[in-house]
Amino acid sequence: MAVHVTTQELAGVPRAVYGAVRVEVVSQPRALKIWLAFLTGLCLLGAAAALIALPPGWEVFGTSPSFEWGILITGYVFFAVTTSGLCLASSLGTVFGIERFMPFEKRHAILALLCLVTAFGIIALDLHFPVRMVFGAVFSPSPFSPMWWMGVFYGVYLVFLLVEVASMFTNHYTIHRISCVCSSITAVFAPLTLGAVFAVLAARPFWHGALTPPYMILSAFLSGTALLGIVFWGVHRFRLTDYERAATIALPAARFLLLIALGATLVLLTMKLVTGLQSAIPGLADATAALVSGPLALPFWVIRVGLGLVVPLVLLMLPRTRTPDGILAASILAFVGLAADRALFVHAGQLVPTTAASGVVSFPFAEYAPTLVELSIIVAAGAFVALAYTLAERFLDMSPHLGHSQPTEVEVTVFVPAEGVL
Amino acid sequence: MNGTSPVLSRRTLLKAGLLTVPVLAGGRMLSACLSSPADASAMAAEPLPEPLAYDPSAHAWVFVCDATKCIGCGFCVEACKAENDVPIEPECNRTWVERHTIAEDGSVVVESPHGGIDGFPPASPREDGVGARAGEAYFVPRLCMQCDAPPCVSVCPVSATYKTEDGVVLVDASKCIGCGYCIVACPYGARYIVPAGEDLPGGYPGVADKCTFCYHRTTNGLGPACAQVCPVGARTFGDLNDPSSPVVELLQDPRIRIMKPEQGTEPRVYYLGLESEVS
Amino acid sequence: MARRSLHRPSARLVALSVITVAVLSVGILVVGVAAATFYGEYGLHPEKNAREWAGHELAYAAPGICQDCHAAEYGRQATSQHHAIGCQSCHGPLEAHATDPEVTELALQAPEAGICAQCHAATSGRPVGFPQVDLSTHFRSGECRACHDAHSTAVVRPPVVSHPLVKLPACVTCHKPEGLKELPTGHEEADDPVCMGCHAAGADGLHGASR
Repeated sequence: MAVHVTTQELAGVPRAVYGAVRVEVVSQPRALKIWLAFLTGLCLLGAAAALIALPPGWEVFGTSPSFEWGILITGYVFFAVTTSGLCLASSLGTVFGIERFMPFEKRHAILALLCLVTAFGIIALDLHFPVRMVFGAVFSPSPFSPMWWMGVFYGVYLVFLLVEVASMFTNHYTIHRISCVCSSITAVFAPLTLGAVFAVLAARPFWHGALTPPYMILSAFLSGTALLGIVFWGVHRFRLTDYERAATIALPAARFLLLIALGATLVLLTMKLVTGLQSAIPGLADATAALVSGPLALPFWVIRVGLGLVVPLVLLMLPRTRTPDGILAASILAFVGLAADRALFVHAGQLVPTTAASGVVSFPFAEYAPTLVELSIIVAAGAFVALAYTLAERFLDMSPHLGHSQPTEVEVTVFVPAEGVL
Repeated sequence: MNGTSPVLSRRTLLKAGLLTVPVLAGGRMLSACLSSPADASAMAAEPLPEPLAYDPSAHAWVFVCDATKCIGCGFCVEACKAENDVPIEPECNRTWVERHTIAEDGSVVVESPHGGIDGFPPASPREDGVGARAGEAYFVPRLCMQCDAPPCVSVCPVSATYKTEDGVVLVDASKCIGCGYCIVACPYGARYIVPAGEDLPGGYPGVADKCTFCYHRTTNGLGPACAQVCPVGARTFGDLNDPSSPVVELLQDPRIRIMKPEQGTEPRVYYLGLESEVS
Repeated sequence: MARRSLHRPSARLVALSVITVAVLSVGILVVGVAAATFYGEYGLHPEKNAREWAGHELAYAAPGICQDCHAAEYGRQATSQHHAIGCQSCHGPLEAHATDPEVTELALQAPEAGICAQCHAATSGRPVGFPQVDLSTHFRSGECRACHDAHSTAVVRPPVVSHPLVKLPACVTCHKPEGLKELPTGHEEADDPVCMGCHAAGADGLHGASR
């Protein structure tokens, strides 16, 4: 690609930034401006909510002793699991060398990094003393605790992802390959530990059992693939870098993976329901019945199963809807269904209270309703990922390592700060 | 956006972006230092507590609750709150009393209005008007089971909660990160996060808290406040290593049970008179 | 493998990254040192935290300590049905008073009448044979201490009214052959108009004051 650059000096970095941002905003297409403004608004709302929630503002959360893990934990699980899924999907290209999955690895990696950072941000708001966790995990570790392992694995995963993204953009190819392999391996174990956090709790029969960690990995795979389906559609629709391969290779690959993930999830969910409903374990039958026919029945059947599993499967299998728009619809629905699934999972586990006297118990179920602050934080987290990814798509070079892009001539005006300022 | 370089130099954008990171990180770290409770730095400056004349390894504390004697007066709940500064509003309970009513259709209704601190209403109110089978209601005193195989201790990611040699599970508030894992892990619902408000002895808002068997009393030869104020002797506290202790004789009763044995927690609180499956 | 020739990080970018990493490292080091002081002390030795828990102040005094000064009430209670109930069950935490009898803030608070009802109001769930009353049909149910002594559990039953409560003869209701009747004790705040028409202290038009 040939670039003709003219530079123009501005005194001072802030002025350079301001001038550049102003020119940039003015030159954007209108739809993009509206999209970015909308996302920025949501992010600001979330920032305000986060400020309210900083210590000692925890009373603005709707959690209580009978329901200590609320929608913030759901959000953390959702984003952490999506991160692993993105890496699992992209590892098919980088680790296993399957050519058709390789071209979009930059997008995979950036999305994974953004999702992981968001997950950490959410959990930092939920933990009452987040800084202590870093030091406590190092100075007084607890190998018996699956949460400790989860912290270790996701921390290490963050480091590998950072190296992967950095080496991707600075063309250190060997480092990139090694970090891809490392992060792919970690991406398999990290959701396992996240599932183990829930699975070891004998007090919560809905979460307990050996099925929960593999359920998390499968869920990761599904959410990663669904998110990639949305992103690839965007690449194709807005003609972003390398859009030709989006329609010909990436979208069909996403469709294929999504079909497998949805099918496997359907099988596993059926297994969970059938074993749960007839179980003699005290509490498990009650929790599963609450999900299937009790207070959680409507969101479960309509959103999680109907919109989240059945409709996407139908959309992906019917010949008429095997279009990019059809894949987008299936991906969005699967993504939404997965968000509902995370929320229902966390909720159903705590629905049967351990005692009648703690927190808010409306016999026979414990009660929880997310407050506006919590909801704002979650919505802003999603908006942040979308905003950051849109900016990344706009300003970073997303073309693949192997020079597949076409050479073009480009005119560019660049604002640079005056010499000696930085 | 199809391969054209943007107008804003990537370099400038990256520089500006990188500048925000130390600013934000520094600010966050400052706020983390400042928002850590004053106790943290104060604790580091105070001298260490005196070694106890009390030898933890010589004692093995257990608790026996007699549901056939409990009258549901709630004096124990009040005493615990007075002794340990447990918040009354919002409600947290280190100990509480439940009324189990066996309804005519055989189902069990469990209720605990404010933990039983003001006693109980005359009859079990149920929206569907289910009344009790004659005589089939009883009170159950509840507290932390101080398990010998505690799920709360094993799931803590920073080892903030631990078991002493004399059998009491305590929380080190200076390490607790407030993740809530121990609270969801407890099968008996005995733990809570201290709500925002006043500091307690041994805790402050945001950390996990629970019944400590009134450790400051037991290490001085007294019993927990709840056991002391019970007017009918439904709560008995004692040392298994002491043959003259009343608990030794009580534990020989063949009707002695533990709660939720299927959880495998090996609790140190034993129950007499539990008639049905207790949740 | 083709490599792109552009995008080599500039020296300035590297310098800025180094500055960021340095600031972050210094920050983490500072917080780490602050945290390490108390983690180092308590981290591997939870006994020290246990000693802290053991060092808290008592609110409830040891059982039986009240007897030293309050032998009279103790004696009254020792032979009553309440003999097994500790003083602080009803009187609240009294360690402060036991160590310094001048401290009477809590000690002088006699328990409110409602405390009797907490144990003795008829409630589903109490063991069979436990003394309970249905307060809606009990005597002056808001004022237990008028008839019951909490320490000795002795009951001073209200005297049976010897005259009919309706169609009271004008004089004999208040006057008997020997003179005026004594006003019964414990009825100061009653509101029964039939009785208080004659028995109220200072009631209108009926000789006033106690009779």
